[in-house]
Amino acid sequence: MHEMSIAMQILDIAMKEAKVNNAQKVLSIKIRAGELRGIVSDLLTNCFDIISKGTMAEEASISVEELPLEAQCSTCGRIFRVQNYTYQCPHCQSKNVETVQGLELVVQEIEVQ
Amino acid sequence: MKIEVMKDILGANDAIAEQNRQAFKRQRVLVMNLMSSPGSGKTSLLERTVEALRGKVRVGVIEGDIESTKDSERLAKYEIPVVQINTKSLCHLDANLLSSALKKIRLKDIDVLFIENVGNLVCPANFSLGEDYKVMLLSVTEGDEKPLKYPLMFREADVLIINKMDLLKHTNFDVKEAEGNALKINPSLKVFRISCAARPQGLKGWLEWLMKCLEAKKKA
Repeated sequence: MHEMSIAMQILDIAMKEAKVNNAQKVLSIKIRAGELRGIVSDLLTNCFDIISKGTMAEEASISVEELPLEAQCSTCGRIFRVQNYTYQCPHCQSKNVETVQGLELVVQEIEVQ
Repeated sequence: MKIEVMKDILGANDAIAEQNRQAFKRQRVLVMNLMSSPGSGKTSLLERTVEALRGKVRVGVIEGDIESTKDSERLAKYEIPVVQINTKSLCHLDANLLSSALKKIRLKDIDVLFIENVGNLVCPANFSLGEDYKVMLLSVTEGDEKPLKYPLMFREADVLIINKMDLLKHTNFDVKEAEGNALKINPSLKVFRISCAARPQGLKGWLEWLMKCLEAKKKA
């Protein structure tokens, strides 16, 4: 359950940003999570609720936008959606492909007051 | 007020992992991060590997477990440096835990450092430690569909060791299917089939690859 470690990092990042901006309260946090990271959104929210108690982010809601797995073929250059985790270009069948989306784990935006 | 943040959540871990990597580089220590589900044979692989390298290569081990020192005790008889990390509730090692453990080991005195991660096919894949290679084990008693269930681990791994080959005949594990599934996710994955138990088999390829990596690291 890596969601707990992830939640701690999110709280850390949100608190630092809030302080820098002289905020009193964090209202919401937007996360972008790549498909391969396997983040369970409900679990992340639960973990965050536990560790944020007593902080100015304790009432913050977390939303997770999942980014689908995409790769680029190094042979023909095309970008494609990776289906069933198969790293093979559907256009030219090359296996020489690189992930271009799906490994992200980013705090995109916070809303504060 | 909305604030655009765009900060990498794993950034703090990755920064410490990079410091670890630099420390390993300075001392030219080859570092392998061993990952698998509980009971796949990480400690057994370590035992066979340490036995094979004895007198030739100086090995050190970092043992990651939620609780207990059982694995460290198993390795104590080889008289090599072993540092135990008990993560308590944490289901994976992270770069910071490793960094603290490194204070208890003299990198100068070792050539290869094996880090035995907490048994878990999910979480350890997310946390870089500063290792040179991620080595994962899958035992034939687990199931050949595992790569499809734990894609990040199989994608991140450099090496896949299929262990407990001696038990194959007692299972419905299809080795070709397992390898095929793993290679779909990670076409450049290096695969070894081995047994670590009573009659070790297939270790030669793994040990040769290890020695090649060590040579390259010493020259780097």
